[in-house]
Amino acid sequence: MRVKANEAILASGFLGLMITLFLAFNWAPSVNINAFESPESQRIFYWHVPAAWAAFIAFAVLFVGSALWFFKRSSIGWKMHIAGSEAGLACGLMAVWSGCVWGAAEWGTPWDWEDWRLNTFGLLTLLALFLVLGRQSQPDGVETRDTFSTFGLYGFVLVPLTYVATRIWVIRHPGPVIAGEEGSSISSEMGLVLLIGAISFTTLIIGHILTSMEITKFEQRLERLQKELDGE
Amino acid sequence: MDDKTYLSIAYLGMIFGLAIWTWTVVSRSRNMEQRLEAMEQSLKVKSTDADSVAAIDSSEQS
Amino acid sequence: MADPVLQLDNVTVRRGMGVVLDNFSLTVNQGECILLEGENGVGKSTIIETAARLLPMESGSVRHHGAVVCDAEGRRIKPPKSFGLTLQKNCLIPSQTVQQRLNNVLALSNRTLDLTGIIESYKIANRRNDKIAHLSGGQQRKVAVISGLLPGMVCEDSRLILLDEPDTGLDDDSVDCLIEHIHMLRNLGHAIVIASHDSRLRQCATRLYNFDASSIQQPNHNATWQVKSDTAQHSFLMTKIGWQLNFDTLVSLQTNWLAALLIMGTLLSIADPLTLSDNELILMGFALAPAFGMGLVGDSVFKILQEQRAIDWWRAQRNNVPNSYFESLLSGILITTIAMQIFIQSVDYQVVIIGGLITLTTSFAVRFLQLSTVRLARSNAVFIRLLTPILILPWGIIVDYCAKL
Repeated sequence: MRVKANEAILASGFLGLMITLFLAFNWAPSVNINAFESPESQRIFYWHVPAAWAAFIAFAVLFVGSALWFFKRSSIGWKMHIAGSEAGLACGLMAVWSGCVWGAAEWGTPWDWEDWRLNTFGLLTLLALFLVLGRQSQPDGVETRDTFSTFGLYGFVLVPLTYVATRIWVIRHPGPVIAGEEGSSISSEMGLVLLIGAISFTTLIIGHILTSMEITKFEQRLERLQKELDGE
Repeated sequence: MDDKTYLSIAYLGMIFGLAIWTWTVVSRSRNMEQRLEAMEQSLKVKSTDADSVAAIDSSEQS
Repeated sequence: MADPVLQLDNVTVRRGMGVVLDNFSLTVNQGECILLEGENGVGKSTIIETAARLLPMESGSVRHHGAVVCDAEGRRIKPPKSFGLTLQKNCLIPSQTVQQRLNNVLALSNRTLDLTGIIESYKIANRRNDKIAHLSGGQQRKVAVISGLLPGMVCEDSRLILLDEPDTGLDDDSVDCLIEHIHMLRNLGHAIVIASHDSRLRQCATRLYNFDASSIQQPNHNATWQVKSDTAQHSFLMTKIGWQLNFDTLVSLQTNWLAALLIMGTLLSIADPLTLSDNELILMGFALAPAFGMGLVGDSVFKILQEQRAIDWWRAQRNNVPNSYFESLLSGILITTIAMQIFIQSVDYQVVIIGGLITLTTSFAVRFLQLSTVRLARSNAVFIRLLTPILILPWGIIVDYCAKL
């Protein structure tokens, strides 16, 4: 069967993730054993940070798509909204799940209800879940698109809030790794594995967004054909 | 359970989840494309990519 | 020339899969009755719902009695005069009685009237004190139709009356009665817009409008409705704050209070408060959990307004639909007092007020989320409550704060 460009992108992203995983276990140095309750669990960070990064890319696509639909009634905008919410849900769940795994080992609790970073990111993921499940429960139409685009726009307010949460509020969650303060700098090997992880996740998410937009295009063509069959 | 086993199980769970999701999306896309081609062949029409909800031309009015 | 009562100016409305009204204009003057005809999906109900301020527009504006009531900029202004509205769905609250429903309609027009004659003519006088839920489908439709006609029946100055397929489900005698009433109200000077497939209603119309063409006709009926109502400044406050609807239906008891009591019972089943006396944070969490749970259930009045989409009727009539904010505050205060007495064995008035505010703000947030999805075809099936867990964060911070008081 012929392999399409988006499928090749997906495959290369997945391969990159496997390489990240291998390097995270076998090449990346261990952290200071005295600074962590569970030093080995820190290796989840090579998955957690790129997943969160990819989720933010997906949420950005969701926001731009929502705005394009809401203000311009753009068909591409609606496709981006759908693709962004689905990809945001998957990457958000990856980031939340890996964070819970680390939290359970390091903090002794998988979730802290009073941590702003965790909760605002959790809300973003729940928002993506709401957009995916909610949209499937409704017939397609302008009301459905307007309502979910509005929530897509609301949701993006949380992105900068989530990013700055570790700086504004005193919380358990570590500070930002990318564009963080000087104290948050990491060793070059760690940085390289993290970079490979981020590139792999970004590639994977681009592949997913393209595939999802293609699916929406097929759905709309099918809908057209159904209408022709209905005699409209 | 030592740290490394715990981490491996967590990683495997996530990789497995991501693989299932990716496979689902790709197979959904392929199935839909096949269905569309089959319908177009049987109806002998070529459907356009136009979005019924977004289009504003007057022929869209119900 | 008669004054315009309803004006739709260059209105464009999208609905479902496409544009239903494209730069559409329509003016209805005093003493006019327009019958909208045409096949399904042509836009009859869209005109009625746009005129009733229920649909957002891409362009244009809607005026009642010359004043803009909504436009494409998103403005929604309270209509200068109350208007009659019967939508395709009955939009009734099943837990209300017939009399209570019609009293709400009268209150919106600031009038009182002995309704016996009217409800007798539709043969539901014996049902006036029955709950709407106990009525048959046809009887419920009669209540919805009377609700639509009533503002015209109690006001001598011209009113707008919008009727969307009023004849659906009515028996022949009731359709005859409806036709008679429409004739008389039109002759009184009211402006009436009807969407219907029933050819019997054509006789009432001064204009037949079927989207391709419209024709003018002169109905052969000269009798005029005699208004016998009295002006009364109804205090609408009790309905607006949801007090009346809550009392009529006890919905807050069966939803919010039940949830709060269940939370309290569950917490009591897992821990004896006396053994936790050293742990103030846990005890404060127990004391404030019922108030939080009560709020998470949502606005009780909104819940009953969602049945039969009664909320659409209220949204058309008022900018602020009835709510249970006041009742939420009181209930939150009361449940926190009880919970504090049970879990902490003392009552601090500051914590009690905070408990009330927790219930109020939580139910407000849930109501806001629900209102945001009210346009959807299946607003009950939209998973909106997935977003409510974020409320746990501020609640936890408040519990921390209260434990330190």
